[in-house]
Amino acid sequence: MLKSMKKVVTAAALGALVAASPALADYPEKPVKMIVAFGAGGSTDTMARIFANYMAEELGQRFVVENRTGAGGEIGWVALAGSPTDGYSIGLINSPVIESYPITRADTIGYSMDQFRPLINVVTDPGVLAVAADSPYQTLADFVAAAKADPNSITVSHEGVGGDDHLAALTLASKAGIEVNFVSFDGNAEATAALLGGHIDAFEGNMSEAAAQISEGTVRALAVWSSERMTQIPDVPTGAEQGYDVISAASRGIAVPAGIPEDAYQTLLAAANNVVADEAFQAELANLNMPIVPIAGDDFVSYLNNSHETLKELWAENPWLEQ
Amino acid sequence: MDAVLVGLTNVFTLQAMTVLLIGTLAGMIIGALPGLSSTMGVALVIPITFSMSPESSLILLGAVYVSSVYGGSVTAILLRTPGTDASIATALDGYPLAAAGRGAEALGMATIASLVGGVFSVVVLIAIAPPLSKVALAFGPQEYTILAIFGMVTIVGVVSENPLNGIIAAFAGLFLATVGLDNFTGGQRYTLGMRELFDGVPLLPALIGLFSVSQAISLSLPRSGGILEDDGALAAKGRDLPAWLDLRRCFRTMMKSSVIGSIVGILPGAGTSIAAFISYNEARRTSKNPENFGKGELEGVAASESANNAVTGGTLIPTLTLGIPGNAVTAVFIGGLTIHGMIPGPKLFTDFADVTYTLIFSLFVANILFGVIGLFAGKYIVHVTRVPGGILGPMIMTFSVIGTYALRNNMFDVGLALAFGFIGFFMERWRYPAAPFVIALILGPILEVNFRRSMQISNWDMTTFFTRPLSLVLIALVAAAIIYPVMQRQKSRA
Amino acid sequence: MTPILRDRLIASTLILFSLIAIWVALGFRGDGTVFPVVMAACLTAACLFKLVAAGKDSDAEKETLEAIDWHRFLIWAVLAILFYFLAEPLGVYIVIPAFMFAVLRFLAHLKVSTAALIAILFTAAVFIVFELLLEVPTPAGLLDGIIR
Repeated sequence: MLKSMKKVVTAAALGALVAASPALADYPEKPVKMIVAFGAGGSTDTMARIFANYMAEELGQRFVVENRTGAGGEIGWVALAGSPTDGYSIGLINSPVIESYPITRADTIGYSMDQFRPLINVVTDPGVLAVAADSPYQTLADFVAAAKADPNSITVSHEGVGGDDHLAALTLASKAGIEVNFVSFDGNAEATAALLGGHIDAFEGNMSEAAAQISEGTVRALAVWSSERMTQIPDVPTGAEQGYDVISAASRGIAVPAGIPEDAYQTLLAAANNVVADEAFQAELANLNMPIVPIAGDDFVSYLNNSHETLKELWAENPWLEQ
Repeated sequence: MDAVLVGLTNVFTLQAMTVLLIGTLAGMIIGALPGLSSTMGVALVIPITFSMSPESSLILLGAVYVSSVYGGSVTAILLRTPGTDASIATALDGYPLAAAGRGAEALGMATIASLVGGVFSVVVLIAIAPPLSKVALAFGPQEYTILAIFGMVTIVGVVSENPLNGIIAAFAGLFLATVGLDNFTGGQRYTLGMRELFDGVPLLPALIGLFSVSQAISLSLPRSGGILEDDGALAAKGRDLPAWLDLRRCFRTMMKSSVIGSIVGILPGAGTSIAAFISYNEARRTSKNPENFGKGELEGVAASESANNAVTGGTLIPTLTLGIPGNAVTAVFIGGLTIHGMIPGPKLFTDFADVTYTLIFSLFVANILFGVIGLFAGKYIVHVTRVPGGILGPMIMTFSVIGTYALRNNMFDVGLALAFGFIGFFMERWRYPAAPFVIALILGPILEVNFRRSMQISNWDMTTFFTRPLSLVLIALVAAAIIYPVMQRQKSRA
Repeated sequence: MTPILRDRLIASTLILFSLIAIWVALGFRGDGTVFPVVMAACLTAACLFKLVAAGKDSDAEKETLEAIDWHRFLIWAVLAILFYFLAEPLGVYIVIPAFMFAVLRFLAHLKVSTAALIAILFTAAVFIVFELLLEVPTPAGLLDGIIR
């Protein structure tokens, strides 16, 4: 009772404050902070900095990237959730990771999804299953057949239990009725080295990270987990084409703390829409093999909600971390 | 061959030389400030490179990288505050030399050794990068497991003055290395629910705490005095540069350490400190007076510094040829490359060969530049050891706080560094060496992760370590590293 | 307290700590248990050995390091802890000169004017290098919006 009273009082006080503050006609009138939950020079950071540069051009204010790293992104997202709601703090979010923590780390999680207001999705990077060039498996069918013939003998890399690659490989395994031997790696680089060195049989990761090796021919992608073939690797068939309808991707988008002034949100949204439509921006991301998939405003909100619900169901059915 | 020439001419333009000079100076300063590391230096430069041409940005990154590794030796020697794990071994002998008033001489040796190591590894990079990258691939999880054990064995050997305390420190470090989110099961281990610990005990705050903050306390406590041991050392002017005889004596060690550094550098994730400690141990093993090591032996400085600078070229081999970064710094490097549309891999040596050779030649020039600057400035920088400890102490403390905070934008890390500072202060007083503790913190995860990976691959079959030729070679090296000192001790008794 | 007694106390504390750690580790998921248990067990073994060997450690007996000046240590510790807790709310560029001044005045016993001068000059140098040249992120505290 006391608690809800307190809430009402705070809300009233906040309301008065908002009403009293002048309209944000000149927004943004100072540099905007952009929180990135991964380290400088990584692929998320690289995309964030390019995006920040274009936003700065659109709005005539600097967008300053601040790397708040740790705990697989959670530290940065906690910082974003707790940022001031004046419109001068925005952040980069990675899906499905950001929706998965409130489920898998329910005991210790420091944010909830309703503390964010999603702005726009920028990149959706589908998963790929790949093998070394000298591997005997030519197609997904070969791979599945081999796994059926000798369960648990094929070693498949992933980047951490519960990440999108692990979930993609798990989905394939359940749809194909096979068992594979998962080997955990700390990042794409180590996994690629192990694949090229013949220490593991297959690699499950994201397209943007493997595209260069695929087009050079040092690794062969057996399938890409998207609904259509990707222009970056046009020769690689989708999972569905080969009879296994697995869809998996890692997305990178922008979110703001929930409760920022509506006109600031709309200003940011309009600018972000212009950025993703900008040919120069598209060319820069094409260099990084990152496919732009703009999902703006409310569509992005429902996209994330759907994904969150799907993960919840999946978790309820079969928690991928043993409790 | 055209690309090589283009690369060469690209480096010798006014613009490139300006960028090189700025990068080298910035790198030296970042490396030399206690609390700031080469990873940090490269990360700080990344945003600036966005607006530069691909050539200039790579030159800047390369120059900052190699010179910051060298810069770390300056504070390791003069203040005993290694900014990165790479210079811990340097401090073992460099600081006693500085305390005895021979700081300039030690700095000179470190500069020459860094130059030798750096240039050697760049030559290796130019001459045989693509075939050497195969070495990186031959190392599987099994080999990394043994390599980590090899590293641990050599490091405990280094602290032979009180082996039992060294072993206790090492196991405490290995144990603390298990803190964090377990990537294999998704479970939390000893995190106490603190998300700052999910990635484990962060290494640099621990390092800065144990060495820099503890040194800040040690310097502030005495009523007077400072780094120089006594009035004798204060009066002694010491040499400005190492004697020719000493250089000649250490030349073999420098070459050997350069080879070790380059090889360890090629292995992604093996770490600069392994290279420095293996080289240091090797130098001590073959030295005529091994008992001088740890008390101020120029050869020890030479071994560690040529090894850690040789790592710089080595780490770039898998980075450029395969797109697999050798360490945290080169991982940031890859970001810098891709931003300009150059995806690391064989294409870097064909389609973008001119840019790639520009980078390689600029590394070469950067090595020479910091060498010249270092040799010239050494006799002036050394005066820092004459500043009273009471003034130096709070300054080191300030740098440590800023450096630790900037790593992750996080006060938690600063608190951790402070706590480790107190621990380190008492460890030093009570003769528990900090070096094995820190190295264990670095090697622990490499050991555990690769061991478990080997077990996943082999379905918990321990023989997997004994059926691979490369793994067997490494096991033989570990056995030799354990048996040799024991044999030597018995020989000296007999 | 003699060095031998001190070493035995350290060893006993570490043993107790390791045993608790092993007990906790037995509850970890899957093979996540193996390493913490093995390492804590090795630490226990090494410390048990130390308990026995500490008495034979002849070096410890003739330990020559000067005794710790606890009074000065305490002053330093309090100042450092204040530094840590005030850095974020006040901002580093307020706390650094204050910390410098306090240490220079109370530990190095410099004159007030000298201590203040060094503190201010040093802070200015730090500000120029870290804030202006390197743009290193630091807690701005009260100065947020003024210095950047």
